[in-house]
Amino acid sequence: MVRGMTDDEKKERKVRYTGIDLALLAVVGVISGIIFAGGWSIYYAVEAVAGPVGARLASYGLWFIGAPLAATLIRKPLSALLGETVGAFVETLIAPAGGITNIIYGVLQGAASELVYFAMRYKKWDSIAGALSGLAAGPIAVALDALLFGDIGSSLEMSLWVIAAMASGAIYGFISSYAAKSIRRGK
Amino acid sequence: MDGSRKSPKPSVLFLYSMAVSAMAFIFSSPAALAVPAILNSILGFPLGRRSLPMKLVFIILIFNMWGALLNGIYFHNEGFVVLSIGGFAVRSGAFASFITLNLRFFLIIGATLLMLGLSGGSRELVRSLERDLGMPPWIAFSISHAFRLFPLLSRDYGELIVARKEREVGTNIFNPIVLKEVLFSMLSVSYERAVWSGISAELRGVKIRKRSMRGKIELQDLAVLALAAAEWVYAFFSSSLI
Repeated sequence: MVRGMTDDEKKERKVRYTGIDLALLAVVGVISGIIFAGGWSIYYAVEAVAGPVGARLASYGLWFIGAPLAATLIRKPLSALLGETVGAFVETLIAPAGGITNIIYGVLQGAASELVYFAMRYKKWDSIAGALSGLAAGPIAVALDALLFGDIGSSLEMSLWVIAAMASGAIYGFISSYAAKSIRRGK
Repeated sequence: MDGSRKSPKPSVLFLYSMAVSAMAFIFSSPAALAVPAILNSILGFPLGRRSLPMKLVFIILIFNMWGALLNGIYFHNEGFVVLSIGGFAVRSGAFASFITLNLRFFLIIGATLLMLGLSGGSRELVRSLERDLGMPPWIAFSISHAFRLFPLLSRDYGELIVARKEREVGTNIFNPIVLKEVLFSMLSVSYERAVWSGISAELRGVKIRKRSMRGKIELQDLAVLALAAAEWVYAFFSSSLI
């Protein structure tokens, strides 16, 4: 059957999400949704002690882990975008601290992370790619915060926040994709 | 079945919630946000009791207020002194930012609770998004499956904590090392379960599930959409756009 396929059919077959992929996406959605919901309290607690830069460094990456987690487990185009979006959807329904705006954040951050895997032609799914996908979501989150929460500072402050968000995304992206990779390898 | 429904479609409520939440991104003056925020809070909080425990909602609100206060002090503490605590002055800019941010939170959370309360549960909401707004069935499957996993994951978590207590290793998940170990164990068990439930879904023919028919737009749906439009018009005329 596979031998008789055209190139396009082969490509389509490769992108198709199987039942296992969808179930994995659901697992990522639950775990990341719970982490996203918990991220708010971590952010507020750290912000009181360490200020905006410390809070971004400690917590922002937690809100980006849906993408590297899903991409490393599923390893198919759009998995990063879907992982982040489903996580945000779950967060909205279980503890709507940010209400439905979570979905806007989820879609845009997921799209930024997805671009990293797209740039790598969907060939690399390792921890470095995970770190880069977390890193890519940082500027989007800071931009949305400026719109929604009015978090606008001087150019130096804004640069520091973006760097902190990117660094946090890279750290948590690396850890989550490393964990996902170890689990895949162990099976 | 659709003809006898009394509440608006969950997909329409989703659109309402999206449209109203978008106002929080666009409008920044308290005058524009106050009426929609109060309206959505009055409607949303009593209805939200149906789908979320009120204790959780109040905890979220207290956290958000704390965040809004910190946000105001860090980013907008300028102008005349409103309050002086010890040597620290809270200025008018911080106070105005605190008010605006809380109005945004009440607007967003009120609209979301309204959607959750009237939509009849997450499963109904996802089904309606699939049927009416064209959400791909496979994404709807993942979200619905995610909600089915909740009881299993909480059971796993309980068992894991009991086992860790008996082994006398840490159970405080705010410790990053404990958190990493607990997450890794849960992810490992969930991966196994996902593989088998995925195989089961494939065998039951998840691929060939057909999309159900789109329901009619009724009067109550139009009323919800009209309310969103009215809130937008009100906000537009009572403030200047950013």
